[in-house]
Amino acid sequence: MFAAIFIPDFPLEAIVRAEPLLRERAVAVLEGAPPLERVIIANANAQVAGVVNGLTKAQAEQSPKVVLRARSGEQEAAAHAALLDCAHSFSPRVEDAAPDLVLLDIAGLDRIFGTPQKIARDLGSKISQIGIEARVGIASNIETAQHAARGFEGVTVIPPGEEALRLGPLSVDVLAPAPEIMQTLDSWGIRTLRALASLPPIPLSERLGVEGLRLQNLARGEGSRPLVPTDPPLHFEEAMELEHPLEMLEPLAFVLNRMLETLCARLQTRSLATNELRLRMELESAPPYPDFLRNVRLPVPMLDAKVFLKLLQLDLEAHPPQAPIRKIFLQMEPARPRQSQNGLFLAVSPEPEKLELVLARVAGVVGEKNLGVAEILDTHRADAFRMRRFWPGGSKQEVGGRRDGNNRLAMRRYRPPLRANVLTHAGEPVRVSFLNIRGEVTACAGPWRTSGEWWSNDGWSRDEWDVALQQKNGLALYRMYRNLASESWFVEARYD
Amino acid sequence: MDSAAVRATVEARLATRFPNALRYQAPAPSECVSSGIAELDSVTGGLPRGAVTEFFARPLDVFSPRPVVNSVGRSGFTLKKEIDNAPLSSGCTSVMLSVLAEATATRQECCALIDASNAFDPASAVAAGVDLTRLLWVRCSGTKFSNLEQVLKVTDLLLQAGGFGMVIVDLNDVAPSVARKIPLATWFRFRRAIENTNTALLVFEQEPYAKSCAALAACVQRSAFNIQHSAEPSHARLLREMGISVAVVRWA
Repeated sequence: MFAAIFIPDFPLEAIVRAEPLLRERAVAVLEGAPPLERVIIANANAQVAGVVNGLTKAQAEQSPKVVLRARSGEQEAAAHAALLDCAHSFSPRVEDAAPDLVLLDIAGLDRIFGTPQKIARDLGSKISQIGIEARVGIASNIETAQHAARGFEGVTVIPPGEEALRLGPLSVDVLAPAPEIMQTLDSWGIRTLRALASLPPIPLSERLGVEGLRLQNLARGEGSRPLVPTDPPLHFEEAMELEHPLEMLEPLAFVLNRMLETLCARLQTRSLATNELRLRMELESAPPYPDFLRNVRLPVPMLDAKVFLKLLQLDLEAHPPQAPIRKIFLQMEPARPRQSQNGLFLAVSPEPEKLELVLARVAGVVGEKNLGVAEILDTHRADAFRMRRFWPGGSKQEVGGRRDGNNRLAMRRYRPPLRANVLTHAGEPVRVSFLNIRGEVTACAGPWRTSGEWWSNDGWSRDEWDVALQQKNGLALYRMYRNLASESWFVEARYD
Repeated sequence: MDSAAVRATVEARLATRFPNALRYQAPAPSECVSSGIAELDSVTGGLPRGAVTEFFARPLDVFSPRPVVNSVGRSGFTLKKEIDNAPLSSGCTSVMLSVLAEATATRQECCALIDASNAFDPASAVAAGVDLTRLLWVRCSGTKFSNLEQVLKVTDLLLQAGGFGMVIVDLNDVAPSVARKIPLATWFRFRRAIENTNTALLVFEQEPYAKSCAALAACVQRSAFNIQHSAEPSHARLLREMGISVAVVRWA
């Protein structure tokens, strides 16, 4: 058995899928370069309002209730990809026959999905979930399924042996014959498939040749074309061209939410998740500037549109676009979903989805660079570290400290080190003042000379001291150093 | 109808959904975890989860001996005398690193450190045995908001998120005159946020600010330090050790 999914008025459906509120309104799709745009598709409401195919844009604009939209290649590509995803969620053997037609082999799927009737219904409802109204046809051969989908509304299941009977009432148009053959058939008064099927084959072949016989076989529901499975690369991208450029981030959230939900639904049909979101936006002042790009990387694959929306919102609040937004492209990098086994005795750790949101929010408060895990660099330079992204399940660090109760003294760093005025006697500091702190040195140890990276501009050379400073309110221990290049003293840290 | 009868009626109506709705329910005793300092654990039984713990550095003799209630109804300790604000080497950071080492390396919990003055030293932490990969370090640099605003916002966010075994707020270098401005309601909110969770909120500071919101308050002070005075030349001397004493002031 084979199933065919056909989308009538595909360019219009692709637009309505991106803007669901248009479904109930009168909509017409325009194509062509301005000012020669013409209506190529008008829905029923638009036709009632007087807009028909072939009208110019100026003529169509005479009907104020009709919404006019330019044909969008990106939206059609996204709708077609979504359609393929739906088909792949039912069968691994899928043929990408045309932008508005997808064929799939459903032989042997009855054990998984049930009867052909149920499969057809499920296919229809799944496609409607992604915002497209489709026609589904199921038959014993590809051609019959395809013609059933093209010819009948909704879901049609043709049992084996009833092909000719069920296809009979359909117009000859569904076979898409060549114009001259169509004209000949019309002149004979042959307008339905039943009439074509009942013609005697030999005289038909004498008049219309092999093509005539082929059309008759199709009209009788006889087909033997094999399915040509296609396996397109996984590409999850949605595009949205905005009617009016967006200046504020708040209305943008509604657009992004719709796109994220669509992409998440597509990923779900493939049993996939994502670990990276790529947002590209064409700005109104685009020609002098490149497109606005933002990437949101996730530590684990996730599939939660709400989380993604919040992450994008936080990211855009931190890095807003510099001009009104004209066009939005949102892409998700597919990844296998995270599989984890929780245990009763595992240490507590934040949930990944929640953690990502919290980290993004915290980054909005303190800045991205001030958040994460400290990684000590392999250098002798004091206080050399870099910040890494925090992820509880990340690589483990070998704990280097001694756990015998005699741990090294803890220091509190001053970043950057504080310049100090130091009075020395016999080379040792005896009195120190910095900020609003001053005091006598009661004990000191040092100097220990360190230097490094003399070959670069960032080299250092200094004498380090540990000093005990008697302040007004008590004693404090400091790590100080004298920069040998500038002969200046600095307070680097306090022992605490 | 007298109040007892009204109460009985209300309780009877709510009994299926809220048993003992109008009766005082004592909070369940919180679980305590080791601080990594055996002496401290032996006195307090450990650090309470789901509660606020304070470690402060000011010497106890500057505070009134007993908790008092001030004119706006806040209970806690009051300063007997104003003293210099310069932070001392009290040992608070050593206690903090010990607690972090115990949580991240021994119990393998995720912890968060909200560093009000960007003073955390990763090298000292590693030497103390802290597993840095399990420690979320938030440096409050005060660019967008003031340092203290950042600390409070971030603490709120992390406590609400949950999942951290320990959230540490380091206010050691924040001047008491500034930190005292944190409204008591903020500390109540923090306490409420972690109630009945596995998160322990630890605050390291110069003075006790959370007051009655803290389940455990301890004063940390340097008791002694050892620099070899006699050794010559001076670079042969070493700062060998620093003794720390911890006095438990409040243990609810």
